[in-house]
Amino acid sequence: MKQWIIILSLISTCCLFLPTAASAIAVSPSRQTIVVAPGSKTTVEITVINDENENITVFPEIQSFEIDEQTGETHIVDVTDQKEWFHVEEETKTLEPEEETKFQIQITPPQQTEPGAYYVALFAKKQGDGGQISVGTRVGSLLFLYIEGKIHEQVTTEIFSTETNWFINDTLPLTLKYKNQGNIHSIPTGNIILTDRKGNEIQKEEINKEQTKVLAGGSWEREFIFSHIGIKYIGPLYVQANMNYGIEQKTVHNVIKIWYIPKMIITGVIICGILFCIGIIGIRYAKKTS
Amino acid sequence: MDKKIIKLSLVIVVITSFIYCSPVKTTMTGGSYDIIADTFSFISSPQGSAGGDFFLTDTGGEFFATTTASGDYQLMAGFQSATRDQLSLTLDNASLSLGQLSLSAVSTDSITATVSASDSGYTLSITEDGDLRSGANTINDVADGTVTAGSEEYGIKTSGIDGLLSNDTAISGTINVASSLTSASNIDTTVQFSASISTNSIQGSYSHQVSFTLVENP
Repeated sequence: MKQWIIILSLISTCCLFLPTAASAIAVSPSRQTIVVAPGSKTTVEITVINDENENITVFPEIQSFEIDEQTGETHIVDVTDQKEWFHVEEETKTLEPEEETKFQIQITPPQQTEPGAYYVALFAKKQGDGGQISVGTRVGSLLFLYIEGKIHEQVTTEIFSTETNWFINDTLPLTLKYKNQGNIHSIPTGNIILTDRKGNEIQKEEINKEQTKVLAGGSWEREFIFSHIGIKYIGPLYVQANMNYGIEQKTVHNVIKIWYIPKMIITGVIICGILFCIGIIGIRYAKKTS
Repeated sequence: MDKKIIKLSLVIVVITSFIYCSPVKTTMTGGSYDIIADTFSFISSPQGSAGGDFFLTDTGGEFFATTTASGDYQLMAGFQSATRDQLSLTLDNASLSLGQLSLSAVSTDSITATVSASDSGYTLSITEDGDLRSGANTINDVADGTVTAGSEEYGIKTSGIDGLLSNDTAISGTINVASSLTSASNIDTTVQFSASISTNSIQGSYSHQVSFTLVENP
């Protein structure tokens, strides 16, 4: 019995030294959508939960977000023109352990606001504790804010190209870039097909397999590589990009023509040429000597 | 006596089942989203109500579909929706110390960020309030990918499955330190801060503030 008491005491003592989270914030919802009329007043809210074992003080912060055109990661950027649209009543709140609170954010877009999508991140922020490197924490809820009015969807091709219009290796790299010219975001999807001169499919790649959104005014860019292209496809090849987007699945179609001259064929031709030359020289030399 | 107990138990079970009846939901629910403001007139065709069925599938882009002819659309105010999920960030430290910087060794300290996010994944970034500094004097940001003893350099690198910085990187503007395009459940990323000084570095007490920012991928 005594042994057990000692063991339990030791375990309890050890638990005192277990690492505890120095900063733990959760925010809900992680994403939200609202459609508002210009000139109207609307409120959205975020719930902040203190997952720490001690009191924390949090305050709201508002910024914009963008999507990286090459990686699909989110980038937080400063709110510029829309800063005055947002107002939060309470500036700071102190939360006890496991307590949750809500920040109410008032949105008042001006009467003359253009219709379309605006991308805002609503943060709960906790300051660091000071020291040499003071570490603060921010967790955000993404707000897709739409202003009532006419919505225009348009995605265009900015780049669809290869480095040269011919290639000798069995690998064909190419770049595809779409630009969203509309006022709402889209998810372009489709495929890129490499075909021979008769239109037979050689290889196919999916466009935007991960279904990344392209925000209004944003772009989507990726590198594609077709590899192990057989010698039998020598000659002109075609690369077709077929992409759909939007409510009505509008289509964007691009084709590029590229010449494939396999390195092995070039090498063979050169060797044959050299052998031919050697043969001619040999024949002439034999004639001379005879 | 036994019958009485059985009857009493039954009464308790019945009462309890009434008490634990789930509350009636007052909002529409569809897929991953609760539609807080039940509004059908979210979007209409340019020709008015000539369109067919409308449905909502997402919080961002292409969240509606109609059977209308091609052209522009009219977005109607009054719709509001939100995901049910939570996004959480835990840091195991609220301050770091590199100690006294020396000419002969690189000083380091690290912090572990633990992230939980839903299906679309997350991006964790870092910002600073300015360079590591003592008054007007600053420690140079690392530029060659490695903080080296004897050179004045300061930077961060990450380890962990979602970490993005394999080399020492300067904190300049907003730097993404970890990212995932899929859901995350308590995923750890350790961020190591490293600093070194040269013979030209000026003595002082250097410090600055950094902030980790977590958002879901849209």
